[in-house]
Amino acid sequence: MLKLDGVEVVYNRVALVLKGVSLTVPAGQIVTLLGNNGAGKTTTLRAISGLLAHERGEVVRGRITWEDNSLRERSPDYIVRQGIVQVLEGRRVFEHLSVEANLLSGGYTAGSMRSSRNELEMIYSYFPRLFDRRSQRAGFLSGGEQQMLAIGRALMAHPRVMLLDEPSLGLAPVLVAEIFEIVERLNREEGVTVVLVEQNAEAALQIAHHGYVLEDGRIVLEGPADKLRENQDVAEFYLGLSGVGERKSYRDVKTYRRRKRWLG
Amino acid sequence: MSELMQLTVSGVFTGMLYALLALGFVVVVKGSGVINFSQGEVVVLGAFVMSWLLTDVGMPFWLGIPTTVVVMMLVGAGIERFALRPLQNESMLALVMATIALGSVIRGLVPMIWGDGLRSIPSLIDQRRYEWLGIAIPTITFWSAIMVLILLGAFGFFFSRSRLGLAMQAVSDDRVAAQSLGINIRLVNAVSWAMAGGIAALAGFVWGSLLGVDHRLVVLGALIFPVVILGGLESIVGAVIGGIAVGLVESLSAGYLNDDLGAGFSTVAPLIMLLLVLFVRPYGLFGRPEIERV
Repeated sequence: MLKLDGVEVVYNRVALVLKGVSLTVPAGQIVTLLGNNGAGKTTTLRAISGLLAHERGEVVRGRITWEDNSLRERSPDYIVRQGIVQVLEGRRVFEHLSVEANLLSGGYTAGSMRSSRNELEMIYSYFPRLFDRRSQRAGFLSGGEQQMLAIGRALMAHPRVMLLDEPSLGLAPVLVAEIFEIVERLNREEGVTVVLVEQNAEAALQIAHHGYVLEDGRIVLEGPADKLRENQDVAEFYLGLSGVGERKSYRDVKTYRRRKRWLG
Repeated sequence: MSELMQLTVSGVFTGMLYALLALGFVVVVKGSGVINFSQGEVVVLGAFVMSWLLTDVGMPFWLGIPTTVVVMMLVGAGIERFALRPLQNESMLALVMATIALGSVIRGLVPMIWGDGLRSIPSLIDQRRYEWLGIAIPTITFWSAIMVLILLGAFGFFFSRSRLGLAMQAVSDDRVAAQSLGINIRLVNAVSWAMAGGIAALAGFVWGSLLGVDHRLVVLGALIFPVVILGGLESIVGAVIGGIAVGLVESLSAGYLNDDLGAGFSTVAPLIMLLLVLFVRPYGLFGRPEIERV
């Protein structure tokens, strides 16, 4: 079980971005974090994976534990060796390396080059397209293929928890569906626990067991995925529906903005 | 005709020695992405340490050369640890400026420790020339070039086949993504600088044997740039080809153009070639263009 308890993150020593986030990710589940731009979704993931330093961020308060083992102030490579691997937003494949070299580099913590080579087959069975393109430079892949490569590369590290940051970003709906289906299969067949950060709430809630809604660095709503889908606020603000099946008008958006300012 | 042959062959062999200078630079780019402006100075330091251990301390070759390599590897790792690691979350420009500062520091330290005079490195092999079909090559140049080839092969193999070599390439491609996969970038950076230090020790030995050891060896550092720009900043094969190209241009212009254009022209010729290449291929002949998808 992955647990965050009252986590606060500060950027540049002044900007408080996470204002006490607590959440629980039971092993074997898919948990999604929803929210607008700048709500703190990516920061939450980076706080878990230890990758805040590059953004001059720092966890200043709270506990982050995995199986009762504290992850706070641990190096990113320690956290990966505990089985927690983040797939960064924007895919971030190694553009100048071949697809296969990208995958092999993902196996860095898992063992020798030889054992990593034996893993490749499993990855290719999930992502047959990567097999077809295995000797190409990753920079020349399409966006969807790069996202598959980023997920496949993370799988090479034998993750028990995979932190996925906006895998749907910039992809056609067909590809989003394909990638989400693979994520679901990985969860079911390989038992990988998934923390899924998404703006595409509809797609995320379809495969998730549980969801949290972040707003301005705080969790404002949580619940089982099917309950969240029925929740009127979520339906209105994140799924873009005001009544069932109706499109939302711009006036409602303005009301929401006003309301949010009052509440925030 | 035989003059042309002679100039070509000695250009190629000297080029291999330029490749050795560039190799240390390439290893740092490959393993940490840093453009290291101090590699020339590190080579000078390597030459001084080598000459000190072999003459003043009186170590035999079999002990002195490996000792210098180890010392310089520690120097390289130390540079990474104390000069660059504190900057690891800063912009690349900050890191590059740090290497420039480092170069100046080493340039100042070396005469402070060893004085200003010309030192020498005892000769490992007797100074003769191999002659073959009327083409003469100094023994030291010949065997150094052979060593460089072996070294380049070893590094090429390391980068393409080993786990750490692959991790180093991943780090130079995208530091954050490499970290997200559990690659320890501190280790990778330290290893690449240690390698650059070890290579600098060997380069210092070779060039110190050829030219004598004094602070003027620093001018060699300026030749690293035409070599790596021609060959591509992170290509090992490119370093060889760039080195040979620079060696050829220098040797041929020394043979044919120096009489007309003045004795210093052969030193400038590689830099002119560098400019011309940059016009045509800004990322070098074997470099990687930034991949941009549209």
